[in-house]
Amino acid sequence: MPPDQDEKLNDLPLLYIPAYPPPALAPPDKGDTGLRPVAPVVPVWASAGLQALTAFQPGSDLTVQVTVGNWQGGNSDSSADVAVWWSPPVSGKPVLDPKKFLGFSSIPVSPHGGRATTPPMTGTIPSDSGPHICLFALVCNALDMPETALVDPVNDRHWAQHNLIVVAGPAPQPIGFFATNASGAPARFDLHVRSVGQEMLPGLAETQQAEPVQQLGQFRLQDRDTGGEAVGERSVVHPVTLEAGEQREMQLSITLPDPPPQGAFTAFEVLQLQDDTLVGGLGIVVRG
Amino acid sequence: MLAFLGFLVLLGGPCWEEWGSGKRCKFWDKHVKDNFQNAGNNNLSQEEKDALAAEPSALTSEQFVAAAAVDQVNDLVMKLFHLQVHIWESLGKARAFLAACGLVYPDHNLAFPLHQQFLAIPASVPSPRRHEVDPVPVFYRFPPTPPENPASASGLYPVGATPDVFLLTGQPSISSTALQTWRQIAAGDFDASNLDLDGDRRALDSCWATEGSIDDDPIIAVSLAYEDM
Repeated sequence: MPPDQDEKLNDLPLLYIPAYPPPALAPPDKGDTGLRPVAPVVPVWASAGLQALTAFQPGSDLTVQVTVGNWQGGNSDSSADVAVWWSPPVSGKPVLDPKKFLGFSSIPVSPHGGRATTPPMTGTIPSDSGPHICLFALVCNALDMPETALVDPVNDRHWAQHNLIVVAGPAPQPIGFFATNASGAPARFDLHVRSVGQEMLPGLAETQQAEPVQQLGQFRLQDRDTGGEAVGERSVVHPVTLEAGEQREMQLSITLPDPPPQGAFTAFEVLQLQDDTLVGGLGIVVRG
Repeated sequence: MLAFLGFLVLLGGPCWEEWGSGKRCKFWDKHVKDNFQNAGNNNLSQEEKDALAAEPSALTSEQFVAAAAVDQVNDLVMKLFHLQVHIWESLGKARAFLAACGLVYPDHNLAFPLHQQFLAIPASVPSPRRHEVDPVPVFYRFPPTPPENPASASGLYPVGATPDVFLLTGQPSISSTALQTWRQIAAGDFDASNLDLDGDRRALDSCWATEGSIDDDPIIAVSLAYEDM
């Protein structure tokens, strides 16, 4: 079923980028319905519709493609305009930089849940990008635009993100990321660090081509500006107050009692919440 | 408004002189930006009237490079791109409309549900169905009501058969129907059976009426001859 009953019966484009994996309660054979926020078992930081076709290497070309769906009615295709940006890892909503634009593609998409994939889009990632990046994709049509200018993969079907960091255990290098406040006013957020739930692991196993194992980690989350830190096992919650538009540099260290076995992985996530509402997140896969 | 659309189609008209020197165009800000909200404003200055009437001159490559750095040129390219997309989508919708009306072949739209339902015989279901209490809001779907009693047998052709099944392999075929009609004509046996399509209960059944009510169970059907209509 399309997201809204009223929208189902018209002939305007209703575009979305599929999340990964499809929500558990999707209609039979329909996969992701385009409804946002997605069902809670779905990691918002790993959209199935946004796929990197080459390995990320600072200073080299990166090729990506985007799959989009269309819940329009009627009997004619619509045009889907797809744009992709890269960004340093962020736990909240990013403010995208035109200099970090990766590519654009315009493709026809069939109605009634039809899907289409863009041709590969290639852009160069500068050598000073840092060891990890994340990707954001937007799909739109002049008749189906996002409601706000915010980059909001959690709530807006037009946006998707691939925000997954892969490192090697048992004591991987500290991971740097930015806690962000894309709104126009100061705000308080909570950063949650925890193991990825059991229900999400099968989907990740498919993309990682590895066996999932669930392990408890020891977390140390540091605020690089204030020097404050939070330490804990199982999970860590760290409050942070950010000015309007601020990007606060954070650093996360994860220590595992044992590395995952060869060919296996375990996964963690950093979620940024505002008043218990999810704003964004990133995933961390530790491979054996 | 049409004049400004024309201005847009002519790729910027009088703005190229300023764009070519890397400057923003005041004419664009006044009349084109903000989604043409001020395009109906006709109080053009003499300078703007002169610019609109002036003969355009070709840009040099250096001027074109300078113009590429002006944000209004990006805006112009985006507007032209959206214009092209709208024309493409409009033509697609027009073709879908003509195909739905039967005025053009729907070859490009066969994957869509409107046409797909006619491409193969669907799975057999007991029919006809009892009428719905309020059928108008749900006209587009098959009725979920129970079948009438007695229900009809399955259709003449196998499930999944394509529309050409009656040409060669199916029964009745087009040739058997034609032969039977020809035989009736030759024998002078006109209007022997009323196979009015709107009134029958199943394939090859004759036109009928109920002896009692359509809500009776079972329904008692009486075949109608042509003179009963």
